[in-house]
Amino acid sequence: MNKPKVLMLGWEYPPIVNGGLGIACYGLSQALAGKTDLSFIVPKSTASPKNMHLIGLNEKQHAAHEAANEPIAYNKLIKMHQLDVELDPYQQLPKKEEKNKGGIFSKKKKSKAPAHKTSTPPPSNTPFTFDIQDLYGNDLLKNTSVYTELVIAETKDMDFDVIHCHDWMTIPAGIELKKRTGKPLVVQIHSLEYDRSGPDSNGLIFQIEKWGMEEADYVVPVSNYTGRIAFSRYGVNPKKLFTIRNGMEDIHPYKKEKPFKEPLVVFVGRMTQQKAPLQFIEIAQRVLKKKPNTRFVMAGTGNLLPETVESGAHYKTGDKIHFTGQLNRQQLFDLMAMADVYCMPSMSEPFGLTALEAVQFKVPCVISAQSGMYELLKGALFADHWNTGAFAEHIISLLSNQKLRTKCVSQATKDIEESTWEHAADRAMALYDKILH
Amino acid sequence: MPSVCLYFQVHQPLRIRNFSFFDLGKQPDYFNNELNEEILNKVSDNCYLPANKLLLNLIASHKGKFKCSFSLSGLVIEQLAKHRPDVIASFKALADTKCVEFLGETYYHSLAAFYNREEFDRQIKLHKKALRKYFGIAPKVFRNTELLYQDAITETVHRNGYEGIWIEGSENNLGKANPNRIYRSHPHENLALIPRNFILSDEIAFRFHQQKSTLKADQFTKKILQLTSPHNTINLGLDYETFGEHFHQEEGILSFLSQWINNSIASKKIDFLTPSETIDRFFTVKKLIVPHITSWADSEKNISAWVQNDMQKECIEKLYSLRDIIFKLKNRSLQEIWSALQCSDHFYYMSTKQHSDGEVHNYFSPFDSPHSAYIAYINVLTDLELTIDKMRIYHSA
Repeated sequence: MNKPKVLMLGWEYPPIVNGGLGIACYGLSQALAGKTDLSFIVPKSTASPKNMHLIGLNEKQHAAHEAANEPIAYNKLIKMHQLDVELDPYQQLPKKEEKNKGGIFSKKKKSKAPAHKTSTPPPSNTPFTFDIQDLYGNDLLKNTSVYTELVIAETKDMDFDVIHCHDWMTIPAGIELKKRTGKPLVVQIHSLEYDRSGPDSNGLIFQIEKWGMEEADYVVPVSNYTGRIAFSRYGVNPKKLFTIRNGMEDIHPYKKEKPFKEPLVVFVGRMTQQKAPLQFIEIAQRVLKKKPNTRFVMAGTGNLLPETVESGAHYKTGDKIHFTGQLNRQQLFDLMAMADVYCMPSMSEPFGLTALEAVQFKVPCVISAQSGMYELLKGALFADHWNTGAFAEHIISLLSNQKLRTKCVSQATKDIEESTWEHAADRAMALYDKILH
Repeated sequence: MPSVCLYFQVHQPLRIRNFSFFDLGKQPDYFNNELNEEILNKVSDNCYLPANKLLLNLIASHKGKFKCSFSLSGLVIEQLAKHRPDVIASFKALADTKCVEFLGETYYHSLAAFYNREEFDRQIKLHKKALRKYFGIAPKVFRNTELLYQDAITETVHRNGYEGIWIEGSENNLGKANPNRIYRSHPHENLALIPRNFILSDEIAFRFHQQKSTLKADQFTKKILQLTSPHNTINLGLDYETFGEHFHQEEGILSFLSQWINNSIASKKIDFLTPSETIDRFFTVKKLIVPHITSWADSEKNISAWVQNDMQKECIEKLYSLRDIIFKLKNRSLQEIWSALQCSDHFYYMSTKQHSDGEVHNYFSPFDSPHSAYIAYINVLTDLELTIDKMRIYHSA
């Protein structure tokens, strides 16, 4: 059998990673690279992986605009305007000269003009530039439409059998390509607007996701949990669902001595509503009430970070709950190597890659029952995401009961044995086979 | 004759590093030494040296008719002595003219007055000692950190032999009283209160250079002369860094200063006095009763610039809760670290105020957000606590 020619459309790719999406795309594409003829288009990349054709649109030289001059068929949802602007994704915006300030918020630095100085306003009539550097910048929607145009241009002469796109940002491009080429479309769902915004979500992004799952030949959730949401919240035909669980990076776990003697409970994730950081503060307060000699680390940034920090301070627990900002891989591993309990109270978690990392580091986990982990990890303790009391009790049990710890860790280690990217790639190959034959 | 009483505030904090969770227990330096030295050098060259030289010349050319005062925090004296002895020497030269008075304050530019009376007293004495050591003078007038004031602090100030204290000339201190007079404090009637005329002070400090207009020396002289009656003293208090750092020399701030002083003296309608002389000439019998904390900062002019949100409150309470154990351990370097952490600037950076007050906080902060400032500070306190624990074990063993 010939290798299937797969065109993947993604948004993040290492080293430019914000969350699980980039890691998952990397793991899956690496495992598929030998088995398929794989092209992967992302807005920006600096990597050059083996055996696959990774196209970072930032690096390409091409006359994007001319090629994409035909109007795009966003007939269903978005009224797309032909951008009447000079589109130059490759032009780097000049770096603003800024006082080098310390802190964990440096990503969203404002210009620091002294109060009495008049700051120079940005020049008007600047042609629009796709500052692709910031994938999740101010105008994500515009970025995705620019991405769509560029993908169309980029794939004009490309030969492929299947379009496989990842999450909503690439759905318009995937649909457009399917319309133009008639090739089957696979939409993989790493997370949904429902996860990020809760049950009331019904905005443009929700609509794009719904549209994408309707247009798709197959919908690939990363867990049955997410598959159920696709079915119950988005009305996806269950026959189109084909779960492919994430694998995990093979890491070499180690232990690291803590700079203090108290046990350490860690939270890792974006500080957004979905990950429930404020909930974690409440859980921590409950644990501290019973076990005052406990420490907590919250790693990650996000729009809820200021509020989360302030609520820790409100309870006067700032010297017990430590904030690290966003961590790099090494720092994350160091943290896991020190952790005594990993806690993930997410409101809705399609998969929960970080929990797998915790398990690899032999850290017992307390996880939201509203997560993909619920069906995978028998060796973890679960609580409904709203039940802070139950989370706290689980944490206290794990901190005080050595037998329970050992039991959880050894069960969880067994549970993740099959969580490899190789396994995920086999599932994907089975799906391509189903589609193409 | 009406008069002008000038004081310049000179202070540089020991800013802390962006201390992270991963630094805990590694015994790194808490303070951002490079940044502190860099700023000290910049401000010395842009402001302290050129402005001191200018004032020294003015004193010489007016043969004693120009007088002013300075308030140097202990922290800035300490840093200058270490890195810029040339600046110390130039302040000493000013002190030697006898036309310049130096004010007493808290050594660490702290909020100790409101958190620990004993600590407040200790820092007043430490500061006095530093003034004697470096400039050979004994202060007579006190200026608490950022003009923070309340009746309750007069006891300690009075006991340390001061005859007057600067306050903000704002309504929350004065009520309807005229800011251009000298008042008595409550309950220590012999302690004089010198209100800072903040409208005229801010005219220079905040509004010297606005959009396209620059304040002219003769305009300013005129404004002051309009206010003067024989019973009035115009008390101006400014950050010294206004002259060359907040506004650069190229914007004409130093020539403004010298022209204004020259104009005023030439007018013969007004003279310059030191704070002690001002108290002598203008002391009235009216008492000001100030039960709440006041200051010169932000539009609220109270303690809210430093202690308002939960982050500030947690840090400052935690810091002072460590005092007893720190002194019990009798470890000098630990004491000094703890003391420098009292510097009000650390709490100022954590302010989450918005709008124009927020912009000023942000301008001075070395951190990218109040939350980063808090995280670094609370991590430092945590590390300090871990160190204390280790020493306790060592001591009890």
